[in-house]
Amino acid sequence: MTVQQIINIANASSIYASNELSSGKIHSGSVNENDPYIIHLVRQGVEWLYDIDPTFEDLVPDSNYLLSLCKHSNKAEANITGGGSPTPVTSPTAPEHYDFVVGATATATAPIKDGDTSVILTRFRGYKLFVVRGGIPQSEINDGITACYSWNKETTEFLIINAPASTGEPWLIYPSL
Amino acid sequence: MPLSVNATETQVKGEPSKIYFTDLTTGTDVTIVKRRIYLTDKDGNPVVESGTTTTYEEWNDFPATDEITLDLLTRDMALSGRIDWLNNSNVAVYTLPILLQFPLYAKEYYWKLIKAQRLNDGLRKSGNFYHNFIALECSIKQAEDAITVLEDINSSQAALDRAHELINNSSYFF
Repeated sequence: MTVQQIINIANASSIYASNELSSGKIHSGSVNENDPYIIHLVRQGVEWLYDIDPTFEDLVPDSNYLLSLCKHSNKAEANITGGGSPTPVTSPTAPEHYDFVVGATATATAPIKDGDTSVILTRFRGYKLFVVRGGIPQSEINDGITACYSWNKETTEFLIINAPASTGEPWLIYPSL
Repeated sequence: MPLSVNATETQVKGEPSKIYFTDLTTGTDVTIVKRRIYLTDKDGNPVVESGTTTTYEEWNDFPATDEITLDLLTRDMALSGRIDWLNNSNVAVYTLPILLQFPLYAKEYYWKLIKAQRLNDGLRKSGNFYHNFIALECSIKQAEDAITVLEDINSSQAALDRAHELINNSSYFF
């Protein structure tokens, strides 16, 4: 996983953690009340560091630490390497995420092709999803205009709403418990 | 073809007192032989290297030398000024205005806070730590927004001063 991908996940995670808090799940222990802004602060620092010096030695451990923080809100981290997390977390049973660029045809590693508005993603059955499209975290809220998605974790049907996939778009689809 | 002047100015990571200038000028003008960099703080005071007796820094040997590093800052600052491209008679033929903020002292401290947190998970429970961490982040962003959105050097310097206070009193705030 690249630093940019971790930054994208952290962007979505801080929003997700805020939603968890506002929905009262803080009391269930799934989200710490400091989590949204801790993730935000560390993500901002990693982003600044990445912009200024993408080869700096602290960038990998800081990024891994950021990914480990996301665990508390979306359990999105997997396969952490390079150290840097107080409690590095791996999710050996979680399905592999998709990280691809849309092309003319779908493949095993790039399941969405140009023009698609619906695909079946059996790999993620039973999981929630985090979706980043063109570098922008995607929402399931359909305002009738903005690109968004719909996911049925039972049928594994993934709908691409308001803007079909188009060639050249980078996508990141990550499973979450 | 006359020159289309342009330049970038960035603080040097690990050495935030230094500003690295890169001349990105395109075109040709054989009359131009050097540049001068004029910088002032929010109060209009010249900002030059220690030992410089003029109100500007010379940047000689145009166009062969397109980079120069100046040791100018003892703390984060918002600066305004200009770069002039001069002919043999020291007449400015082209000018590029400058209005920038240099927040790297604060960002380098910010990165230290992330490292401290990474190495001490107990900090995650400290509301005071995060309250002031956010204050530092907001100050850095306010300094940037004041320049890029408002072109307001005073507000930018005020934000950088707030960050400086947090860092200078770190044992109290963090």
